[in-house]
Amino acid sequence: MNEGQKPPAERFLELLRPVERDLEVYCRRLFWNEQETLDAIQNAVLRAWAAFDRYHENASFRAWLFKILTNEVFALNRKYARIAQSEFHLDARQMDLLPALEQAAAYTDWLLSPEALRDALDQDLIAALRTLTETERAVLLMRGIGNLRYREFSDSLDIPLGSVMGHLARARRKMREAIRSCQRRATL
Amino acid sequence: MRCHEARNLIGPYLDSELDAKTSFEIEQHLETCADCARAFEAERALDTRLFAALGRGEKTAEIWQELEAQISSANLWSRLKPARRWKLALLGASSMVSAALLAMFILLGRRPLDLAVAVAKDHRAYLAGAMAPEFAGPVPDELARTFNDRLDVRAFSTRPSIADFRTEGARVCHLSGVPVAWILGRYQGIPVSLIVLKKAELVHFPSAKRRIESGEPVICSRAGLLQFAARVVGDQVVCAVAETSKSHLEALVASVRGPG
Ligand SMILES: [Zn+2]
Repeated sequence: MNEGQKPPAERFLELLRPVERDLEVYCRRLFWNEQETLDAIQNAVLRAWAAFDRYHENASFRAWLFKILTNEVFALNRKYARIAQSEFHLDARQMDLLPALEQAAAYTDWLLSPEALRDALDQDLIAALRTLTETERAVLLMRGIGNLRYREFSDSLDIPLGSVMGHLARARRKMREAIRSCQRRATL
Repeated sequence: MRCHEARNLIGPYLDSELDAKTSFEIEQHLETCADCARAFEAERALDTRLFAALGRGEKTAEIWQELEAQISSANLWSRLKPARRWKLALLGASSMVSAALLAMFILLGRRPLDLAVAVAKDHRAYLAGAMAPEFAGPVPDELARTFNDRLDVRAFSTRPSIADFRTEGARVCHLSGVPVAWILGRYQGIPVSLIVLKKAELVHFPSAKRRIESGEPVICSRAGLLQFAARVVGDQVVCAVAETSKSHLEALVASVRGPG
């Protein structure tokens, strides 16, 4: 059967269904509020549907929807201008230590020790997202949940490929450090 | 390749974003450098653990079913022939048309119906045996005294007149803080919840309020496997929820006579 013959709504839903779960989980990790998550998903999906005639079959539908949803989330964040208060940053002293830490063999030893990741709780890992900036969080989640490519992050966020790598590297570094400080607190 | 170069590329390497040549150079380095090999292994372990935790979660069926229903039914735009769409887009400066259509979808489109979602949650508790009727006859006086005019005692005597409906009992529930009469029963053997609240309390359920006020005689919505239907009877709103078809539930709600 020719794909082009199906009604657009049917084609849109066929493409949407396999992505629904990932979109919702992604959105929940970007926001902390249930109602906003629902609003963002609803607005993004309807926006995508309204623009479906401009979607090209050869592009990745998943990447296209992640882009629309990310823009929706960022727009809601700007609207409520809460970015600053919803994020707290690692203090500067701790940040200075990070490059040195990364080089240290002790750090690798810790990460490879059986208890390091076993003892990290899901909720601690999710809470550690709060130490990331909005963009760092989005790139990390696009990678981890969206399974997207760097050029797709770059297109979604409208930032150069080089900065994508920088944001992602910082996101990973902050997550590692947050997990480690959770664990230090737990063992005190 | 030197150690620091390899370490700088850990992320892109794990994400399979490097070209074949660079990946090969990294792999060669890892074969000869135990420290870097361990560092790569550690990062991979962290990524696996992290992405598993961040990606865990199920989708909320209600949200997606509502959205899908909205898209399947409200496809005014897509019913137009492509050529006609093109003309329309040109006609109205395409961005304005899209903006207007989007606004239309959002305003007219059915948002997940707040009242249906709230009702479905408690009905699931009933189905799971986590919620039971508290009385079978008239409302106990001491309970009625707690209503403070927010709930009408007569709400508890609401019954559908349709055949095959049997009542098992009733209780008071709170939906988003709103006291409601909850009548538990069976229709054709299927568990049904009948929920009655004051019409004035609809202010707590704006999307249901909007649809009821738009003049639909019976409003329907799906919440997962559950069908929801509601209608205004006098100054009360009567809702029903059950795992049944839309037409069955519509008929059930339509058969409710005014209380008293
Ligand atoms: Zn090395």
